[in-house]
Amino acid sequence: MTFLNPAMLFGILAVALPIAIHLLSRPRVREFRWAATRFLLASMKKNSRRLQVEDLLLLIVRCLIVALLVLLFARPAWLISSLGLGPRTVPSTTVILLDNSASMGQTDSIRSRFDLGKERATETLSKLLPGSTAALYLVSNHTRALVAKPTADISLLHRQLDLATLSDAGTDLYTGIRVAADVLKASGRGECKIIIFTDSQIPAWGNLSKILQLQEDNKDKFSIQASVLGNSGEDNLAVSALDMVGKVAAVNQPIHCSITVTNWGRKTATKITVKLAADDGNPQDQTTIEQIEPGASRVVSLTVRFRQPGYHSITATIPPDRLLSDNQRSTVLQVIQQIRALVVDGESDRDGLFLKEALAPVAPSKRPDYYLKVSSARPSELDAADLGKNDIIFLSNVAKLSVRSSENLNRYVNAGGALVVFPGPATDLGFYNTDPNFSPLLPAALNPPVDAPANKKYETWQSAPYDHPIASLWNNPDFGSLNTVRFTRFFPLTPRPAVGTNPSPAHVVIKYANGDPAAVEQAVGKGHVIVFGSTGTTAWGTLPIHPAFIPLLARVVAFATSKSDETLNLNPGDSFAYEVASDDEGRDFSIQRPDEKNPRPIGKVEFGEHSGMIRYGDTDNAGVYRVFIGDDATPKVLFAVQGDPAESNLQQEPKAEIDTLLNPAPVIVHDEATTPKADKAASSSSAPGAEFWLPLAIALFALVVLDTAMAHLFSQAK
Amino acid sequence: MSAPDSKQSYLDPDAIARGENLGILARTVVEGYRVGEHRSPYRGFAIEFAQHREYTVGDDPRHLDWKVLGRTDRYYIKQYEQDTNLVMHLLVDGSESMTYGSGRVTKLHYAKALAACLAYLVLLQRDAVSVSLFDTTTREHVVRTDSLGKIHHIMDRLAAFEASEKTDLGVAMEDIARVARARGLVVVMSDLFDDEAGFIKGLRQLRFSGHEVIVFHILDQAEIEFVFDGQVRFIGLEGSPTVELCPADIRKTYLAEIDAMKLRMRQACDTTGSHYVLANTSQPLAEVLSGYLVFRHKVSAR
Repeated sequence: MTFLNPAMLFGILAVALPIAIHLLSRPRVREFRWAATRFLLASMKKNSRRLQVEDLLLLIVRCLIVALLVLLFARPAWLISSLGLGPRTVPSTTVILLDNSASMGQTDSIRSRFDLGKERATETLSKLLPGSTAALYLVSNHTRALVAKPTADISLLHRQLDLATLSDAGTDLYTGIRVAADVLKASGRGECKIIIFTDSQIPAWGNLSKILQLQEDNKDKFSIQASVLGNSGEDNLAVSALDMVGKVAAVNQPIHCSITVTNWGRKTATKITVKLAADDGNPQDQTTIEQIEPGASRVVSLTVRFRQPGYHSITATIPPDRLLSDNQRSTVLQVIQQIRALVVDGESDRDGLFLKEALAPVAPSKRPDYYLKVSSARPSELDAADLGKNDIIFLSNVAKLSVRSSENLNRYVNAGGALVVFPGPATDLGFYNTDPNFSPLLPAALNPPVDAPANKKYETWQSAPYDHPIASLWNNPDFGSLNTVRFTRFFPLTPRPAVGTNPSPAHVVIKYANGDPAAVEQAVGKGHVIVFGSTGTTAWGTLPIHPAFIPLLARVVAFATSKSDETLNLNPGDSFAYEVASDDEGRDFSIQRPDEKNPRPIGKVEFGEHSGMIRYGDTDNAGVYRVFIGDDATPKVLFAVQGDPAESNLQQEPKAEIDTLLNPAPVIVHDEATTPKADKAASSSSAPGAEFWLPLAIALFALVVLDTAMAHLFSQAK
Repeated sequence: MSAPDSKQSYLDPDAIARGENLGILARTVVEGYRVGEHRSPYRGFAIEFAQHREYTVGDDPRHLDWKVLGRTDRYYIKQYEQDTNLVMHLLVDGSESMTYGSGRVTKLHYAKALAACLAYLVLLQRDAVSVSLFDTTTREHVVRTDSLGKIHHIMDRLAAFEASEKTDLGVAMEDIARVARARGLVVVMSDLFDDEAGFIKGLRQLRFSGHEVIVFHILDQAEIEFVFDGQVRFIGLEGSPTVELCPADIRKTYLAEIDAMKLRMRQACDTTGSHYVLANTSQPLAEVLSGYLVFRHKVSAR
């Protein structure tokens, strides 16, 4: 036997209290002269032994009551030996990790895996021994504490478990297990274990080796146990991607969206209707996919239009199945009224011809209605031009700029303008690389032009996959390929590091087949600059006449002019941050979540240096969120949370891989903090087990009752 | 009964009134020299014819029944019953134990009042009375008197007496048995917290001497019921030790002891043909006295 609170044993000295009271108490004594003393003496003689026994019994009982009370506070527990002696059940410290990733929403038509996990967790909590403690966490690709520190308040754990909700996030159990391990190292007592309730998706065990290593490193401290929910490879169809093809969303212009539908099941799916709706309205477009083979994806292109500029949402849906969260996917975009593009022709009008035509690829009669208004200028006109009227400026084969023009252009970019540079034969490398106003704008230094290798006669752009958003459209072979764009001559580019006024690193948009950068982009100030390594004319390559040129320019325009697309479409758990006018600073804002009909108050717009800021972090659920400021009826901004496509794959990790987690050996951790020093030598093979406060409490109660009865009985006249 | 503030307080008017109506009657015959209300043990030649007996040598021939002699020629003597007077010996226990009283009245005061009332009643009916106050020996003695005027003297002596010593009831009773030449009525008023054997011996001696004995066993209510609570220190009288105890612890045992003692005293009285009367000092004296006198009247009338 040991004590979980041995310091309380000093309280055993309190046993002396009843004895001291017995010895020292002097009750008030009244005096009487008395004649019949001999009868008193006779009575006392007859009763003295009995009275002594009664007093002694009462004293013993009261001492026992004090001693038992002290023992109760000292929390005695059975000592469990490593030899298996003693009781088999021990109080434990358990950290329950409940997977709340999107895949846990898969139902068996009655209840979801998440509901099943909650039931299992509830059962586990109910089976905990008295004195055991538990903590509770929700895990996906991030960890959320419901009960952060182990507590013996089982009702609190049950309540928190009832309130737990599913998210649409991806899964990575390692982060949660690491948090649980830290909790057990800090607060673990008795047998320590981490119990994971998960559907055991393959992505969840992406860091399985780290998990197993963590278990091995701490095998004497805690065990990790997995409880697998659901079955492997259940049927599931998912909208795994929703992208705007053109990437420029303008009023009254058709917005082409590519929608990827994936069949994650084991059977061929047929007749899948895909619908595309704008702003939660009726579908504007739909199509039917005849069939998708197991494991295969199909991409369909649907179109929507918006009649008003501003923030809008697009939602693609497929018929519901047992995992609802991936049967629709939403994205938010900013629809603009028009974009003004300025093409600066370097040496002649022909330098910008292809660009001007490609930027407004409609008949001249329709150009007034086209969203992209193109104008042209000569480099010398930049001196006095109001560049701020343009959303994007293209420089094509511009040799150099005057100091005033370069200063003007520098201010324009830093103020938020977009600049796209196509060098050419006339390009003055000295100016491009050294001009104090112009060179800092460029995301890459231009090296002297080189010809394509003689054996190939031309250099091509790389093949898929493309990492950068501008080129990612061509990851889908249905849109063709960029590797057929050829160049006979080009400027090798050296991306600039993130220094000085350019805190953002330069990103390679696309590479040549040899791996050298062919186009590089970088955020500069509040604007964006993209530089290509070759011409925007047919002088050195085929890009202007390639089919991809028009969509590529559209994506370039959209990428360079859009300042918020990335911040408007988040992953579950990401924080939303949005700048608003300083007039709104301090005003209340509210958010209408995807699963709610009315906005709920969130807080106040934060005060910023130049503008107000809205921040919101509770983005576990996929869908469209609408942000309202004050009592405004129309949302100030929308943003969308998109679930992890990997969550749609319900394939489970093979059980053999996680065998040690499914059948863990029990681990007993000795509580150093509560081990008396004298016992530490022997403690390596033993640990405190089940507390037995209940029998002591019953004994204490019985003694109190006995004491009361005895006191009453003994106080009767005799 | 009122608190003792003067000698007059010993005479309880209520007790006197009740006693006057009933009178003090000797249950058995007593001998005396005056015509009174009490039957004499002597058969003589007085007014009330009692019986005949045969003449024996030495009889006074004046008492021969001549009529019987004339008719039957036999010699018979006529005997007559003669009334005589009562002599009551009052023995009052004056030991220290009698000074206890849980209320305003001590046992000694109660005994003095009882003695005064009895003396007054006896003198009132022209009988004689003597009073003795004793502890280890006879401390005060009022010689036999039949004068009502002496009642003040008796009360003065009763009032002046202060108790201080232990008791030896047996010696006092033996003294009375030895001193009282004429058989009479001996009334003992005591708490009987004494040597029981000595008391029983004295009782037998009195009875042997032909006295009728009445024992008024005077006890305080606290001594009879022993109702105390809390912790109590009892300071013993007559040299008894001081005892500190919780009365509730021994109450039952104490009451059993007291009851056993009362029973022994009653049995001793019954065995010797004496009367035993338990007097609780919380009871009015008139009640105790009249109760006993009623009982006695009935017995004497048989």
